[in-house]
Amino acid sequence: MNLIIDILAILFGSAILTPVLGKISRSLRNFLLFVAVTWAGFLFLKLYGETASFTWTMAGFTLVWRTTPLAWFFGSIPMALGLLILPFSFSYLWTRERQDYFYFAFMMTLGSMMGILFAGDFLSMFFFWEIMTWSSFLNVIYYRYEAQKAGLKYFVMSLIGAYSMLLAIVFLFAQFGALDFQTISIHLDELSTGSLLMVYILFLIGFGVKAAVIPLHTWAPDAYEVSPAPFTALFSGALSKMGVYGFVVLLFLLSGLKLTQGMGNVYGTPTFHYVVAWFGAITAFIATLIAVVQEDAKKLLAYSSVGQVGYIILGLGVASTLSVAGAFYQALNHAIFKGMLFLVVGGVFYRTGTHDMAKLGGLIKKMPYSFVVMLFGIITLAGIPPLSGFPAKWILYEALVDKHMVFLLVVAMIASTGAFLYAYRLIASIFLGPLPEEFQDVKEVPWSMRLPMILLTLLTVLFGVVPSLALRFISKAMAFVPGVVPLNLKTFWLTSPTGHVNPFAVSSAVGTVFLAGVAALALFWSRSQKVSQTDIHTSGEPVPEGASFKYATDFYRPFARAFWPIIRHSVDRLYAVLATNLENIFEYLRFVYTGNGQTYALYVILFLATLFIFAKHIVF
Amino acid sequence: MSVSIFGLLMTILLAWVVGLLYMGISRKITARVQNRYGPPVHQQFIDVIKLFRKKTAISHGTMFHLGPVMAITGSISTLLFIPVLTGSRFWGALSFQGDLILILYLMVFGSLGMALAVGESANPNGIIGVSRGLTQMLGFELPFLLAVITLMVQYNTTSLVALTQAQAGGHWNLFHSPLASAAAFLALLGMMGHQPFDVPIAPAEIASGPMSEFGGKYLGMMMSSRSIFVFAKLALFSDLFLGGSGNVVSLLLKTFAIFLWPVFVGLIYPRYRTEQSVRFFWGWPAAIGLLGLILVVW
Repeated sequence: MNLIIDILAILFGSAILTPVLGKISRSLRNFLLFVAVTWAGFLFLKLYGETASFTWTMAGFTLVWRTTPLAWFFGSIPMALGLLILPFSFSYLWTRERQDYFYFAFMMTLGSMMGILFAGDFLSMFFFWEIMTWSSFLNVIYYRYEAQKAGLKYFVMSLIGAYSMLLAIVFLFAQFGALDFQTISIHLDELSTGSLLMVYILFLIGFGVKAAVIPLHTWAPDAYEVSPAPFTALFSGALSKMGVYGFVVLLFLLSGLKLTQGMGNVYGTPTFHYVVAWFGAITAFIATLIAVVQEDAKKLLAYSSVGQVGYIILGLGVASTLSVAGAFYQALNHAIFKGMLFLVVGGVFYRTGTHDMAKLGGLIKKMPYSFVVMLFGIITLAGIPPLSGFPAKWILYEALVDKHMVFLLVVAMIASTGAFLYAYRLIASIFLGPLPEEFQDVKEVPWSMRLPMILLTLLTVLFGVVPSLALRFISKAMAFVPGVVPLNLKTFWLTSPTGHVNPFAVSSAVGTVFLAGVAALALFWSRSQKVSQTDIHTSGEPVPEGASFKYATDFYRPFARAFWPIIRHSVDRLYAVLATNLENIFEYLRFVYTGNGQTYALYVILFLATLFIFAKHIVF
Repeated sequence: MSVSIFGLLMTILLAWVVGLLYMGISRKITARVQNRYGPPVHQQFIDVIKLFRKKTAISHGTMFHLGPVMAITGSISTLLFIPVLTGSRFWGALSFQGDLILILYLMVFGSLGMALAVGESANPNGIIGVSRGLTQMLGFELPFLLAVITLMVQYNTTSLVALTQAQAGGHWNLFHSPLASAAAFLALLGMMGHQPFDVPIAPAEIASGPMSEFGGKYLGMMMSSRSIFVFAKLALFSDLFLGGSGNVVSLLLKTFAIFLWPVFVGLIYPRYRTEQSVRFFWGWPAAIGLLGLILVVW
């Protein structure tokens, strides 16, 4: 459809025009970028609820570009995040260098993400997937020399994923001669179970790298840490959802019935899907444990991101109505609260120049808006009612109880409890506690940075108090996921076959009691006497001048001691050890090249002799 | 179906009174075991009312002021969704509007409020206590979740009302799901915070931990929040494992019986370090709970 081409043209076109405009004037470029994204967003809104596709051929391949409500649901995430993050990045980068480079990569990433969602065949999808990989790589290495290793790791792992995907695509093309989703889903049953499994595993590797599923997640902490904060917000908020969308394509749009018959079911879910669900659960659990012991705010958020996306993969793997609805809801939530958290940490970095949690502290007095945004962000992250984190987790758990998948449920719930630990560390180390000397003069972030964060906060409140709004949106998308019955939403309550919750009762109970408590403290009882932060209970010991009572480094040392058997292993080190051992083997193979002409002559004679001896058995 | 506001208020009042009373009785029991007289059973009431009557209270900032409010909000919200008396729409009036998963998550809201207030107070003893408390929470959550999930799957429901009604006629889960009950009652020791799991409070080591910086009305509010939360947990356990209660007398008897378990264990044990308590909970209690879970899904 024309609208699809328009949206992609606007996004890619503005990316290409950015360097030109940037030379003229920064404000002009920023203004036009904002106009472009708003215009693209407006066109995107016009596509709501529509299903349309068009095909065209190029060099002998048929390409299909289409839009369905499912693609619209996943597309709303990058469009909304891009629109909100852009003003934030204008202020963030205003005084920095290489701005054209940043915005070029930003817009290319945005455009390629929309392209992936609009693709109706594997070739277009792969094309846009690769554009997304290298344009996000450009922004990962924005800080050049410090970011080399992280960028390289990201790029190599993305390439491994991409080549796996390419293998699978080429195999499918060789079998069927066509690459569009429709044709393939019809003919997929014709493959033998073995080759079907191979295709699925190759795609799993490809999408798993982007969605950062353990053990393919090792690029995520380093890449998220070194890329500039606004881009990290887009990266973890939207890019990981592309990996999730890939999982949706893999597990549902291409459902091969043969897979079920060949490998059986577990509680009514195909075995392959169940294994994927276990990958998701283990990702959630282990990434959460590692996040708790991190000392750097962005690395903590990175591991947290990996863990929360694990919940989404878990929901998709279980493949029932409720679990897929929960997975989609969690995808929406994760984009919102991760965006919020990375933007707040970015704002703190903008004002203080550090995201090492041991050095920060006490910023609540100087940056109250950021504190409130982060508070709502961590409440959503931990899944605490009445914000929007709770309905998503609730639906996922109900789905698991319904399916009797108890071990997955235990792992998921423990991971959620663990999430509360690092969420508290994040907010307490940055905003609470004593304010260091060097940060006495920091101010709140400018309004262009505050406004996007506040808008995201309002969204999470909205989706928490009225979850049926989000669920209506989700069930429309689910109608286009074959193999899963869409969520039938009749009531305002959250209902499932095993339980129900009235979200209005929850939010009104919590809200009323909280307001009553605040009113009671204010009205009925006497004044509170404000004292300075150094005036604390020290059991009568005098406090020396300039003493710091900050408990921040190694905050969770007892936790690290308790869980050491689990967190001392590292997949990153495993890969490094693997690479070192392979290098050693290659060192030995190197001795074949002696540099001596006589040895080479010997090799030729040996080879001819072998050929001569086995001439009978060689068929030409 | 309208909700009785008067019922909600009476439930909160009952929880507050009973919670403080139980804490007073436990102090008396502890004292007698240690061969001294101990404070009168209504000592906690005297303490709380005295605290609320103080003219000033030290505050360290807005979050310090709002933290106790969040804590008591969490406790009260948890209480309101628990069916305190089965089949009654007066006591536990909101219990038909929520389920067990909601209750489990609302319990975290109060801890968050307290933790934020402690962070704002910048007292390192308090923050250490919070970090230990959260780590220990991850410890006892595992056997507790194993037990709760066993029950949810056994009766195929997540509604606490349905779980209580399924135990009608004397079929208590204590006898019908013994492994789950064992795991949950061991987890209860961690939840109540008596020895050997009182390292987050650790009175002689970190000066009462999180509570060390609260005073005046804030301490009064934290004590009230604690008593309501204790009662909510006892009512939850009574509903899950002892078949709930049809009248107030039975409620008081059952919750007091459950309450005596952590008190008596606390009298005889010294304190575990944090990692020791986590390793304990992830050891035998978790194994018992896991066995119970496997038996249910087999």
